Amino acid sequence: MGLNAGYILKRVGFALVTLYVAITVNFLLPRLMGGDIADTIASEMALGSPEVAAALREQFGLDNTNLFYQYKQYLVQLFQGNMGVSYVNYPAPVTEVMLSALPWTLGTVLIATILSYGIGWMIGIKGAWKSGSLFDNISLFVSFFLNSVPYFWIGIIMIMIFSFHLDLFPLGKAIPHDFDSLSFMGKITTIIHHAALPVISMIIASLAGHILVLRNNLIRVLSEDYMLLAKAKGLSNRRRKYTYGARNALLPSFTGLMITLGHVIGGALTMEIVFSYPGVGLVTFNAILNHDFPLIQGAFLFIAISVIIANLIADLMYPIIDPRVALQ
Amino acid sequence: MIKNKQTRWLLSFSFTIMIILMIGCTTNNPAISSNNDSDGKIQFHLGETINPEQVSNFNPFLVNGNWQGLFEYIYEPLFYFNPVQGELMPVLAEELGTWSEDQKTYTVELLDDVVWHDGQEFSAEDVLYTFHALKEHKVLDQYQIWSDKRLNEVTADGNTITFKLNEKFPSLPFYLSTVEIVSKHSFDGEDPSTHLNKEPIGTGPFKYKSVNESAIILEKNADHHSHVPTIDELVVNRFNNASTLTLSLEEGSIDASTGTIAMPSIPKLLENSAAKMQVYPGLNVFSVIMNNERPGLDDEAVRRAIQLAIDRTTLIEKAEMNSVFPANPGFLPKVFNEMVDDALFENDAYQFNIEQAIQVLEEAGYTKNTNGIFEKDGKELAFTYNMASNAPAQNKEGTMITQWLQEVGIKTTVKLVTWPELTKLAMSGNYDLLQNGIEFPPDPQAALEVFHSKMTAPEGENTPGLNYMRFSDDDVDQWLDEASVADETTRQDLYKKVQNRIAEQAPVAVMYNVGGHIPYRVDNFTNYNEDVPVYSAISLSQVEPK
Repeated sequence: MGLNAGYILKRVGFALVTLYVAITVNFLLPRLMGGDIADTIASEMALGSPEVAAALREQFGLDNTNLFYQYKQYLVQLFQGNMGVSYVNYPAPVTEVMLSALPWTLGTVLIATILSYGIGWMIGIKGAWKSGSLFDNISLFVSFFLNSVPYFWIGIIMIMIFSFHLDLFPLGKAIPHDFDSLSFMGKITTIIHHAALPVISMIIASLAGHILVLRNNLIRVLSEDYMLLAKAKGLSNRRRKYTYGARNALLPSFTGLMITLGHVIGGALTMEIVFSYPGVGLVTFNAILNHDFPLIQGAFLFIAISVIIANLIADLMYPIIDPRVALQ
Repeated sequence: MIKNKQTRWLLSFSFTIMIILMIGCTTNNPAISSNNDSDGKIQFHLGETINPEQVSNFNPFLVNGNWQGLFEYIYEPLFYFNPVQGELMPVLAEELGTWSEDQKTYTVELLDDVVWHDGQEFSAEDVLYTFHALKEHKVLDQYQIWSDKRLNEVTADGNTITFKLNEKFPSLPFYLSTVEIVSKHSFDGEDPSTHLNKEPIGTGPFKYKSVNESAIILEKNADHHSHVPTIDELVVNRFNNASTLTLSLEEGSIDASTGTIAMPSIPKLLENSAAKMQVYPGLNVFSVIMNNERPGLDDEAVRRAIQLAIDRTTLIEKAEMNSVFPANPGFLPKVFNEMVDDALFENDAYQFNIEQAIQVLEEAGYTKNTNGIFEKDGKELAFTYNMASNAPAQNKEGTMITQWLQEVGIKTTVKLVTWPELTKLAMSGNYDLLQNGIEFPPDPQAALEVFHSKMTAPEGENTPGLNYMRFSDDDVDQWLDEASVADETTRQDLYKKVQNRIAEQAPVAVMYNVGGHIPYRVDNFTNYNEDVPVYSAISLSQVEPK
């Protein structure tokens, strides 16, 4: 199968080193931004009082400005599973803030990513198999058009048509205000109702790339001699298309899928803003604007871990999809 | 075969469209507003940008982790500062308090028959607990009312609360309006500086019911001491951006916001006769803050030229869509009524005038170089202009201002930074020009003390107050010190002197005064009280469905 212990150890070791580097960079990056959250709050809320700023600094654990001391504390806390307390969500822990936003992100971005790749691949395969057909030409035209349109435009157009004018979907948000009073089925239906436009818009906006990559790779694979041999041997269309063609053309698209899945946890900031939808993207964005170091660190750590895990899974799956990878 | 395939695709496509339309059509659509929910309750829908970090706690003592606007409906202070009229109104007090002869004791009578939302009786003990919590936790005493020169002791005798001061502090009643009174029994045993207070219990006209990702729901307090709301529920719809909120307002799915609106959409919104806008002055003055210690800006003539180069009317009309109030060149906003020198607003000496700006610089010995930039002793008038990133309206205004400065002959290099960085630059003095708001409590003394030299520090050191300009004037210091302990008439005179000096010396170039610009709809509800902010607890207690 090509999957051996040496290969696995090498990949896992590389993932661990990457994780340590990511943790350290997570610590350093926010601190390079300048600005002091305690001063900002005191300036906005307390006439710039240095007494209030000092008290806030003590409350946030920022009274010791030694960077090495803070780094040591950060690592110790992290290994104990404690990501600290968010400044702007004070006194809520970072983990709680992240976990409250995560389900909305996974529910929309993850589903949209999987559906987008699935639909994109199916269209790409069909287009490549019947290259030059009406279907192929239309899918190419639509792909190029969608590829050149920014996501926020698609989102806004969908809101204006389906929400504002046709009134088929809500203007935004994840649930209605009376969500708590709904039955279980009512809750499920209303979540789907609210998530429909964000998910569909994300699918539409990302579909083109998946179609084009797989279509072009498959056209290249289909011109290989072994495909001609398979046809000469009388293998069925389905087997030639999927087992011989698509499987070999899939590797670059599979890499793209795994990278995208790793980034799912980072949320989709534009979607969250356009649809006023809760999620990790906006939490992270606001944390950066507010210089909320613990939350920035927590958010980027979540993202880093998910990217590393997704890459590790991809690395471990490559030899299964393409045995030549492990041999190389 | 081909026909079959085409049919299959057509069927799949039709099925997908049907599913989408079914999801859209079959679910109860909450987007369109109605006065009533399914139980027949009268609901008023307010909208505001309330991010996840603003519902982490419901503790009115804390300055972050919550949306401060919520507390107005649930809790009550002793007095309410009404920015529309610029006056204090008694809330939990029978009437405004009385001063002792030596002006060092302030006595307030509490209302009788006030009960907390959980049915327990409100008492003077709750007021004492609230003020002692501020005393014991410095981080909560944001305006330092317990500092050495201010409060010394708060005592209670029956329903009478006595505030004893170390020195005269005539502004005390204004500061009392900033403190929401909490119930001692719900905070007992908790640390008020960390308590999440997830089930807030207040005395206000609305009781906390629930919160979710979409809204905070409050219900009417049927036992309210002054005015039981007509509406059954106040639904505070949460948005994360102004554009969606504005669309909801246009569509009618919310009845008002507490001030957030996408500025460019205001004209379109107001085309609808059901939409109104209430505008009133407030406690934030946006300005081009100048570092008075920097070469060039240490020259009064240059600062005056910058002041003359800012077309405040155009900023208000084109960038803020007439939703802010004109600023006073002497800084004190209109919200402080008779304390303000109204003549300064119209004084020709402080109006936009490019020719006058050029003349001021020429008279001060500046000459234009070949690039059209003024210089003196070989040094160009060239400054870095700092403003906030991710703030479209601010950036638009900054572009207009830097263009006007260019017309005068003052060169600027724009630098975009985050809001916290902007504050850091201002505090440390590491800037030339900086566009930002200066916010203060409802106290004219505090607003003008922004220019007191005790509120500043040399460049490189953090200022102990909001005098980011590094402005210093002995007369201003003396007038403000005298005003801090003076009677009302004397203060009025002294404040006018301070305002005139600020206008003359131009330590800042004011842009506009931000108070309230409140969009609201009158198609579902009537009887808004426009003598107070229409979104305020007082007004929403009185609104009635049409």
